[in-house]
Amino acid sequence: MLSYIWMGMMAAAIIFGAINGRLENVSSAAMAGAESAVNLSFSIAGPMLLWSGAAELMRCGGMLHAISRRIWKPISALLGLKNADRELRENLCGNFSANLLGLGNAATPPGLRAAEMLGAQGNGKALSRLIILNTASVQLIPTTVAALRAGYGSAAPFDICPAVWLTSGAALFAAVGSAVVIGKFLK
Amino acid sequence: MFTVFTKGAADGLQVVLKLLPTLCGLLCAVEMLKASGVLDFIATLLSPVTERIGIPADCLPLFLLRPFSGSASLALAGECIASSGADSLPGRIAAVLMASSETTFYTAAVYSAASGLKPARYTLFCALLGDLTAMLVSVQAVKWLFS
Repeated sequence: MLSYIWMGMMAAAIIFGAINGRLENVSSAAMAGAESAVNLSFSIAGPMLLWSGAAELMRCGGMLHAISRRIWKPISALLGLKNADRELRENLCGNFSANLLGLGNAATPPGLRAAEMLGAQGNGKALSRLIILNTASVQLIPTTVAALRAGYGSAAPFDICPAVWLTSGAALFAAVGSAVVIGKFLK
Repeated sequence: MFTVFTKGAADGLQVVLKLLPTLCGLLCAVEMLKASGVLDFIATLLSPVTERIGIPADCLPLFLLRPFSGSASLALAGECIASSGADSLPGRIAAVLMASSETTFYTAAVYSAASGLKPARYTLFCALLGDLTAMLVSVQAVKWLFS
């Protein structure tokens, strides 16, 4: 997917550059882009390492566990799951709590295991809700983005939190709400 | 404690390292697009819609690519934050959108593959509706809370 987009971008840049007579600018822009990629990586590397380390500490310190015990009820309601065995429950809680902490990489393995188990049960409805919830990305602590902002000298990298809560709450509402409504219609 | 921290930090480094090649390819393409003038062309083309919603021109590439590629959108968010400033309006909108939406197509594909089941047909539609909501609300939320 990305490779088509990228080729399209390149082709558009070269064709438009030629039409506008700016081919020279375009080629020097390519060099500038490569240079800024390296600068970008360097400036986000420090905060990224620091925050990822801190997040791992939170995870091992039992914060994930503490969250997962409290969120089973809302999860089962959102997924429309009445009963689930212990393993499925643990995987779902692990997936959600990692998402809430903004740890996308930690959320994927338990999420995929949960998807596998729902698939084995043939529970397509809960599976589609699980996908919708994971694409809505509800975050309490936007770790990665805060690291990015800190790298660019933000005065308070986490001050976007209320805006993130508002936005991801609205997105979650729209996605799950439409799924519930459409699901009812199709039945 | 310290080994836990360094393990987490190593994961963070992995993310940065994996990002660099993508970042390089995409930033070259974005810079080239900017220099060729095509980005301005697309922005004028879309301006009736984007102006209505209030999407800043700096955020436009990010908004267009967000559901398709995670590394690309992280790179574009970084570019937007770098060029407009971390505490500017466009910089904040980029960060909020980045945090409150996902790489929908990729996530849906991976989860369906793992389950071995075809999820309900409406799944992708609902997920994309969520993305669209995130795009609209992120702009308004940042404007409302920060200006």
